[in-house]
This record gives sequence, structure tokens and C-alpha cells, in this order.
Amino acid sequence: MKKGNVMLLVLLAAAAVVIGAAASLIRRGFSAREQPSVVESYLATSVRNLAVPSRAKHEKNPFVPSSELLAEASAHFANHCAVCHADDGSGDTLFGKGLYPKPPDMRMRGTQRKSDGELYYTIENGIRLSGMPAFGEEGTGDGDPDTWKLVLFIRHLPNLNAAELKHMEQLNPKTDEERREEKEEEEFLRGNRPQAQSSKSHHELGE
Amino acid sequence: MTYKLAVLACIMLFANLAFAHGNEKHVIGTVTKVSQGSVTVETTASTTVEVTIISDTKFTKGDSSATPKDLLVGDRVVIHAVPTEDGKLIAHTVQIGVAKASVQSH
Repeated sequence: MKKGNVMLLVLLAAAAVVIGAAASLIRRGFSAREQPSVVESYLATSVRNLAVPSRAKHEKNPFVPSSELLAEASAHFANHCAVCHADDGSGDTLFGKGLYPKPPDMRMRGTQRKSDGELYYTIENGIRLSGMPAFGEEGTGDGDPDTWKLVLFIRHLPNLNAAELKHMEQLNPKTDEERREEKEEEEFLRGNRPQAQSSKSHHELGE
Repeated sequence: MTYKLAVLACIMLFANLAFAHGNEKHVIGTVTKVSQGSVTVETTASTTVEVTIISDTKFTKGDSSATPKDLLVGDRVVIHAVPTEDGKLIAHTVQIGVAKASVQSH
């Protein structure tokens, strides 16, 4: 068999595989619940890294960590970021799990190895074709202090303790109903509510 | 063009299957049994519910983090759990009360 014919057969086989995979995917449908594959994650991450200007990557955080700044930033994070990223940065939230791609576990190396400038740029400018919005306002450039403080807090995430998490939970955006449920649960845990009761939330088991 | 097609082909070929996610349920009550991988709770409405504990389940007691070993029969608990399609409840968080439950008559 000629070399040209072999090449043609290989190309046809590859095309058949691609068409078959595409047909299978289209028939199955696309869901945001899926996890991106390793290859897709690699390609997306590579493109994203290219999207951060080298100048921004080398920006230094003008703030140094202190308990006051971390407390301020944790409140900001709990109010603005935790709905997708979770208070502990794990991304283990209802919204986080439903996004495609999923928010990363920010305690891990993938986020922690990024430079302060990269983290700042990502918060300010968001990530295209993902759930990460651009939180920066036009004209602030590299000088939004609240964003730099968030970068400090992201660095602190791997060392977050239970008391800090508990405090952040109180600062998460909640509906009145959720606050009422939370209060009832806390009272129960403290022994201030009887074991048998009639008041139940709509998703509390045992009604 | 060839590169773009190759990227698209890679993405399609390596796409993974979906995993399920449901609404969280709150289980509030008193621990009646602790087993390897599960906890049984008598809820405040006097029903019995078994919840599966997994390695990712987070435990807290008061303001401190806790472990499955801290969970004892008689403890008040609030468990946030995700129901699976086969009717099981998988614990996401287990909050252990600082107050012990009083003894109930049945």
C-alpha cells in the first residue's frame, strides 16, 4: 500500500473518531455539572495565563498581612466571594458546583503559586467564558486597596481556622428565612430548644 | 485552522460524565447510633434518619473543628446533607452541639 493511501486511511479513521465523539456529545447534551477534562483544563488554563499581562504579574501587594486587614478582607470575601468560592476557598458551594468551569480550591497550589499581581488582576478583570466576573471599577488600575486586601486573604486561606470560618458564616449574604433557620439551629445545638418541636423549615427533615 | 480543530477534537474526546448534585437537607436532632460511615439521628419531629458520613464531611463543635470521633450517642446535631438518587443522605457538614440532649421517653 502506498504511503499516501496509508495517510489517507489514518486521517479518515481520525475523522470518524472525532465525528463519532461529537455525535455522542451532541446526543448526550452538555451540562455545567460536568468536570472539565484534564486536557480541557490544561488548554483553558494556558490561555488564561496568557491573558494576564506580564506587567500585572509582577505587581507587588502594597499591604502586609495583619489581623485587622485579614478580618476586614475576610468580611469582604464572605459577602462578595463566598457564594461561589465558599468561605474556606474550597469552591464547595451550590453555585460553585454548578459553574463550568468550577471555581478552583484556592487553598491549593494552583491558586497559591500565582503571584500577587496575577490574583489582583483576576479579581479586577475576571475570567472570560467563566463565572468569574470583573469586580474592578474602570480607572482604579493597580490601586484598589480592597482588592489587594483580598489577595492577602487568599494567601491566608490555607491557614483559616474554625473560629474565623464561623465568623465568616455570619457575614454571608442570607435571606431572612435562612437567618431564622440558622438561629434556630444554633439555639438547638446550645440546648436552648427542646428536642421535640413543631416549627420546621421547608427543607428540614422530620416533618 | 488545523490547530483549532485539534483543540476542539481534544476537548470533545476528553469530556467527562456529569455528577449529580441535589438540594441540601437539614437534619436536626439527637444522635441515637454512630456506626462506621454513618450516623443515625432521631429528629426533632421524632423520625429516625440515617445519614452517611464520607471523608469530605466537615465536623464542627461550637467554634472549633471536630472529627467523627467527637460524635457520640446523645449529642445534639445539625447535619446539612445532600440526598442522592437512591434515597441516601450524604453529610456535607455535621455540627455537634455543646449541650447534651436530655433523655427522652418513647
